Amino acid sequence: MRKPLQSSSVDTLHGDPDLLIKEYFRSSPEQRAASRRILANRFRSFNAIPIVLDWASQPNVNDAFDGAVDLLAECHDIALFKDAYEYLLALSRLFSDARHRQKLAQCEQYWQVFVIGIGCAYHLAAAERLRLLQKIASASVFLPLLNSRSIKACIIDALENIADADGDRRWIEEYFQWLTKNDPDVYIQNYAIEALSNLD
Amino acid sequence: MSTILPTLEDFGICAPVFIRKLDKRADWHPDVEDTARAQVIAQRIFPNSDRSVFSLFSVDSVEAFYSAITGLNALRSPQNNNTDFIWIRPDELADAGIPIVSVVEGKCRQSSILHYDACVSAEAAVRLCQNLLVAGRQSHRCPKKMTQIILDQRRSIGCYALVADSPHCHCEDRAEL
Repeated sequence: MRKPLQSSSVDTLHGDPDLLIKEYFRSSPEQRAASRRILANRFRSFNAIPIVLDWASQPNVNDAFDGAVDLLAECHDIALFKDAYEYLLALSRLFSDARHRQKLAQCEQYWQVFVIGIGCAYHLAAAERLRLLQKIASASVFLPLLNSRSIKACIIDALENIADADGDRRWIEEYFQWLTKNDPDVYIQNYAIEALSNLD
Repeated sequence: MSTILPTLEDFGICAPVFIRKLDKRADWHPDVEDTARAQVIAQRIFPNSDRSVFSLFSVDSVEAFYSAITGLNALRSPQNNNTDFIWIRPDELADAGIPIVSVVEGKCRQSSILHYDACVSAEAAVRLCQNLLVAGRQSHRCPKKMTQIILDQRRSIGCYALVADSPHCHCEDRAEL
């Protein structure tokens, strides 16, 4: 029996559109570089972003993490990131129970790629990206997952990128300084110290 | 901003070594007990899967290091990323039982011949990471500004990996200096 047509997150005329994302991750580095701008421009709904995040953690895909970050970096619509943020928040809350350890670990990986992707999304205004990263950093108050070392390091890296793109350097500098003094994790304190030195 | 190219000493590299790129520098520093560290790092750097071939870049000189950084970033978006990596000595790969094979990859000949595939089983990955941790190996970062300087320099000599219509790639000439 023929499968019914499915609604999709990618704008295309033929076939199963999400296959385009699959094809991207299955292709060579050269093919990825040639296609990612066109593919990212066809994202019509935030639904494309969780699909990309999911591919990022596939162990049998070459350079999956970088491939996902590079694809997110080519997105032109901040609304997709804002909606994907709400989605990730809801997903993480759904699995915040200790019974869902594996799924929560998966969510942590999603957040890492998402945060780095925001930092690299050079078509978007630095101020918009900064606001979203500020929301993510603030959400750690009610979502402990966002306090993980990996995610905090990703937030610092992403903020460094925003600072380089003429974001609000003062806020970023103050945030890094706050981390150097207040973060309970010495690794993150040192990470923030290094990030501060890179801002000079 | 400084425009001085980095040296191998900046990264504690005593050539020859192989470079394994990390997705994120924190992958080398998981927030876990010391006893579990090698296992967690191995899973992050060599994800356990049915495909156990991973890319390495051979670095035997500072020019080779620049070529490796170029090869790792030429096809990225944007190109000037932080490049996080660990370096591994050839004898450390051999001790962990990890065979490597040269697989030419990329448009710049000088950069492409540095590329190797390593066949890494889950057990060998843990063994290697354990040995590197015992040796006190650290992860390193070639910061995006430094990556940019390297890419600009390579672009200025017409590197095929970066300049599509370059009449001649001088990376090879530099490697022979």
